[in-house]
Amino acid sequence: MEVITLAFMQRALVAAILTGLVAPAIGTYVVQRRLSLLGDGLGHVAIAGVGLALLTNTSPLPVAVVVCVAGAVGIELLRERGRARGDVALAVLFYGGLASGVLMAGAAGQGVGTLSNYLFGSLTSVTTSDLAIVGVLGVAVLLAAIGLAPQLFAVCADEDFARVLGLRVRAYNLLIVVLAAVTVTTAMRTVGLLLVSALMVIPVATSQNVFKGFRAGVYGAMGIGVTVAISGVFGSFYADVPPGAFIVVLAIGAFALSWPVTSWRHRHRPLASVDEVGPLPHEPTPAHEHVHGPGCGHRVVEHGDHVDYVHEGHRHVAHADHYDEH
Amino acid sequence: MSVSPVVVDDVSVSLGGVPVLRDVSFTVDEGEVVALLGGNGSGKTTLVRAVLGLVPHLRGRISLFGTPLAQFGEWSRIGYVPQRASVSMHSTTVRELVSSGTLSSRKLFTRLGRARRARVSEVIERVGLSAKADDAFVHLSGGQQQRVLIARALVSSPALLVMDEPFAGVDLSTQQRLSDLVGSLHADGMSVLAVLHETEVFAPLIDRTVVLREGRVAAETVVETHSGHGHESEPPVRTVRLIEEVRPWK
Repeated sequence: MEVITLAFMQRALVAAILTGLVAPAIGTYVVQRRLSLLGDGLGHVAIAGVGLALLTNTSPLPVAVVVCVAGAVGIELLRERGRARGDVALAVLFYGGLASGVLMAGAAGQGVGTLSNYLFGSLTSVTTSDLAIVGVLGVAVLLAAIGLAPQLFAVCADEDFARVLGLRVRAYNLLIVVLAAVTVTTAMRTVGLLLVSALMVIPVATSQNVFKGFRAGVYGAMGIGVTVAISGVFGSFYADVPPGAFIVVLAIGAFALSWPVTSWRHRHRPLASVDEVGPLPHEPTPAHEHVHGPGCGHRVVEHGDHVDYVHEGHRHVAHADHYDEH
Repeated sequence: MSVSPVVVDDVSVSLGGVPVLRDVSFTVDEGEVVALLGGNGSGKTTLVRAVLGLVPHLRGRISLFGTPLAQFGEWSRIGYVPQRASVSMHSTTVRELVSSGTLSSRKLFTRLGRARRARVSEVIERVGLSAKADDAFVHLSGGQQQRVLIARALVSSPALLVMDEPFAGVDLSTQQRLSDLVGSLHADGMSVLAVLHETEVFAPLIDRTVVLREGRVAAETVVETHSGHGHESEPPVRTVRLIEEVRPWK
């Protein structure tokens, strides 16, 4: 294990541990809000920040953090005001960020080779000052993601209910995207900007397959994240490949391994009893003159505590002054 | 002097530029159970959402416990049961979901604490789901999920319970059970505003009905309870009195 004595590996490992903990922690809320591709879009915005830093000859990490946070706030405001549909807004992020980043890097005389260190991670590129920034921001994101977990969970699970609780839903939604933006940029040295989204999403999905409960899911995802991040750094060193790719392949491997657990759980879940049939949607039928009843000519099917009438291939049940689809 | 938990005065609401509610007025007095009735698209759900500030109202005034809606901050006094909960984290347990109902009275960066944890267990028990407390919410049946949503609304011991079609998709025995639970809390002084498709099992609890049609109040009735023929041994008689006639539409 002489590799650990190498200074650049020590810096890379510390950065990987922080990224492995932080990305799934904030990723839990991103996934819950059904914005799994947000991290990818933010990664592209951060490329614009890297390009700007190369153009102005400044340190890429702080510039990328500022640009990415600004982009995240902008996209959340657009989404909130309904000015752009979620997917359109993300597309603007994707292509605008990537194009302007490449453009500025090119204007700075840097090729795609320089950018690829930020896109897929690079063990040797983590500097001491980068590590300080990653450490401070990573701990701050972690404190917010864990300390505010009840509030963030409530907002992500049911926005309306969170509003009636008196929570500042808008502020929490903004906080989630800002924390995601900070996470994306701090991960660019280890996982890379193009692959960081995978570390925000896949360990969360894996953890949900294995652990029961939201809180257990968060900690499980962090455990999986940090394990694949550390393993990926070592794998990357020995295989001489970018760490981001190695980390993400390991994360996908862990996800695949979690499938049998899910299947086993589904097989061993008690069957629902008759009164536990799934939620019946309240979906009224199109208006029809016909009144269902005994001998009305439609086939009768027993359904829990009532009967449905089979009407042109649909099951109708009387509800107030109309019929519902069952 | 008691303060009405809900006062809606001449309220109009538009959604996407389309008028949905026009000049709606009604009150929920302290300790009263008010049922909002009406057909599909009559504006019942929009009205309760406007009362809770979830959709803005164009005109009129809404106050909660005597405070204008915009200034209202005592949200722990209100419990809300939506029609459905969309929980995207499929591993979320019943206990976690019910615990989120305590957030209206919790400070930031604080843990649930022993007292609140006990309260969460207590309301889960009251809705009859103790055995399912650590099960995933999404694996429960429709009736059980509805009971979880009611437990989540009740965990803060609200003075006003607002329910939006709490019995939709729920079998009759569960409806009766939920109705009994709300009835016992009402007996302790809780006010209730419930959107209902039909009164059915909830009928014995209702003090006032507000019927909406095409976004307006079509009728309002109060239920009056009299002792049967003056004999204490006979059960009380409940009669319905129409206090507002159906008005012609403009």
